[in-house]
Amino acid sequence: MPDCDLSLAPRQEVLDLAAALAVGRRLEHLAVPQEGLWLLQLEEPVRRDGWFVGEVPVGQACIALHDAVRGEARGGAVLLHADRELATAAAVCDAVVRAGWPGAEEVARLRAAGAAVHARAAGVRAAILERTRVDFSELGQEDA
Amino acid sequence: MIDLDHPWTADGQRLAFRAVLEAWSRPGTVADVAAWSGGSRARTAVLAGMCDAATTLHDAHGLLGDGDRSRLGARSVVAGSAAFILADGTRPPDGLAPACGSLLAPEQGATLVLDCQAVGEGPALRLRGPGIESSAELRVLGIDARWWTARAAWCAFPLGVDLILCDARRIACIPRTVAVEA
Repeated sequence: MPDCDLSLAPRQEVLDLAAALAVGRRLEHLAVPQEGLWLLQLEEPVRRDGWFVGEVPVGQACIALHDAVRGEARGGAVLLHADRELATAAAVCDAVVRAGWPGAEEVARLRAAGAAVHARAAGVRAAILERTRVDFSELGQEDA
Repeated sequence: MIDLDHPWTADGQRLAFRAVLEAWSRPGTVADVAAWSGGSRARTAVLAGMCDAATTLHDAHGLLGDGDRSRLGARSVVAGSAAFILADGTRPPDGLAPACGSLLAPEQGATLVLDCQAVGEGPALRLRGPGIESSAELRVLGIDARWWTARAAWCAFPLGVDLILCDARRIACIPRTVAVEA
């Protein structure tokens, strides 16, 4: 599944799940969670100069969960939403999944919900694009 | 979910930055940043207010713990190319070679954050220069005298380094433009 799934899942459900996964565990922020606009830089291929294509809203977090029995699990998230609360929650989910701790199946369920949203949006977008398709080979045959 | 305390909160970082700015404007004045340090030494609040992923940092004496180092986000580099250098002021600056900038880019001179025993107490320094009316007295306890010798060698206006002296809760700034008499 694509990494964007959790950002498309219902926000409150992601926050609630992350809060539940953090119960009884110490949450350490390895980096200060951030939200804001990220200046997106691309490199043109000839002279390899950098240029700025625009800004995208971003939230990011990097955390460690400390469990008295299971030890430490680290996770991170960068979302295309200026929402550091959601990014932190996604990072907690990432940590649990990466460590294989209980609760990973709940994260998978939310990711599947996000993937479904993504698939629906992709389907709508594909249908719109399909209506704009132009077959240039047929134009060539008419000219002949 | 986000339970960060000062100095890692946005407000804490802004207020610490403001305190540093005020201290820069009036060299030799002592500012108390304990309210925004979250129990850490003042150096952590200063660095949290000044550093981010776009800056570079050299921790000369390993004063930062892994957690604080990671949260600062600044890239670790050698002293000669660091925008900020954190050092233990009670130890001599042996072999330290900070960036002093160039005539075309004097702003590339490093900012040294020196951790001392006490700022506002101890032997007096006499400061003269921009931001000071005639002269000012700054008391600093527990700073190795060789820092002043090294600073004199590094600073040849407009080149040089800027100092932020820190103790557990207070800071004082000495820009490169200020003459120091120990």
